[in-house]
Amino acid sequence: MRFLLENQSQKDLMNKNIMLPVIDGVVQGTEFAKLPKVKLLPIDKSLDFSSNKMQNVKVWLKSIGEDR
Amino acid sequence: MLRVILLILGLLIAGCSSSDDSKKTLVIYTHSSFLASYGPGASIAKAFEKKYDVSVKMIDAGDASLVLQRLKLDHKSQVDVVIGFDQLSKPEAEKLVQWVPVDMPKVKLNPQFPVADWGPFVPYDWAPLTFVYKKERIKNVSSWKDLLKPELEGKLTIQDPRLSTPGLQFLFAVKATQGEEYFNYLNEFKKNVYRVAPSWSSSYGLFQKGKASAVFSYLTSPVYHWINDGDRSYQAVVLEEGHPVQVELAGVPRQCKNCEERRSL
Repeated sequence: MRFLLENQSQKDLMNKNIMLPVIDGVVQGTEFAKLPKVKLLPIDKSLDFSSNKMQNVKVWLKSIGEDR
Repeated sequence: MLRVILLILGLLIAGCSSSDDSKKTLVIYTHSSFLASYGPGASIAKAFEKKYDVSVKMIDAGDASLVLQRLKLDHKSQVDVVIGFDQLSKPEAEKLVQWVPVDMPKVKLNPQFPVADWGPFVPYDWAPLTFVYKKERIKNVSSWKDLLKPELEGKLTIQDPRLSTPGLQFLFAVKATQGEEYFNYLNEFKKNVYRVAPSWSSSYGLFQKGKASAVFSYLTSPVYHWINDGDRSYQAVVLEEGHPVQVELAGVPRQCKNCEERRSL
């Protein structure tokens, strides 16, 4: 797992997966550094949400539904 | 810490099957886009093989939402590492499969990267999600409330949360930002949906073809067009209430040969 967090692997992930690196400094001087810095919703809330995934999907089905 | 990481890596390599007499093979399950021609899988595998003198066999387990299901079905097969499920799948991952705890390597983290308990897994990349658009198609959207504007009627595409991880992230974000108005928001938002797509790639295709004016995607998606198409009209909507985040995880499954039999006994 250490390998995935090495500088070169993080660069490959950023440039080919088009995602942000976990480690510091990799985005500097790249186009990724020009993206807006945004407010993030609490990650812990997303973990709680995923524990009730099916219940939440049922709400989605009742509202937006399958007919779109 | 370093010794622990090296030990785990050593165990992984030592526990690998042998594809020939000279080299061990590390078997990795991952999702299709990781292995696609444009994806990072090939270059990472090549660099790992060179550094550790092992063979890496990457298995395409399908769409990101299917990787864990495939792992469960293949529970008797050799699988050394799983790459590419997100934090919304973490409870399911812990329920479906047993994992070897892997400590997070001591690295200096990106200061924006969200702090959380990742359990036995290691996060390797991440991105906030939002609506991505072309400048001429969408104007004056800066909040989740703005996404309900009548002028957006039939112009947005999202993904089915049962089939797609971004789709599930959209649903989470609505719940997190709208609270008790969650259901009413979705009902109102419905008129602005051009189509609910079965996957991120199909929804992005609708956007690229101009059928939808904006697509729920990654904040980082415009960078692809900036670099590859030289087109800076691709932008990401900044939503003042906040953005959901996808964190991609990797883990080491504790595959055993007689698990089901033992459970039955």
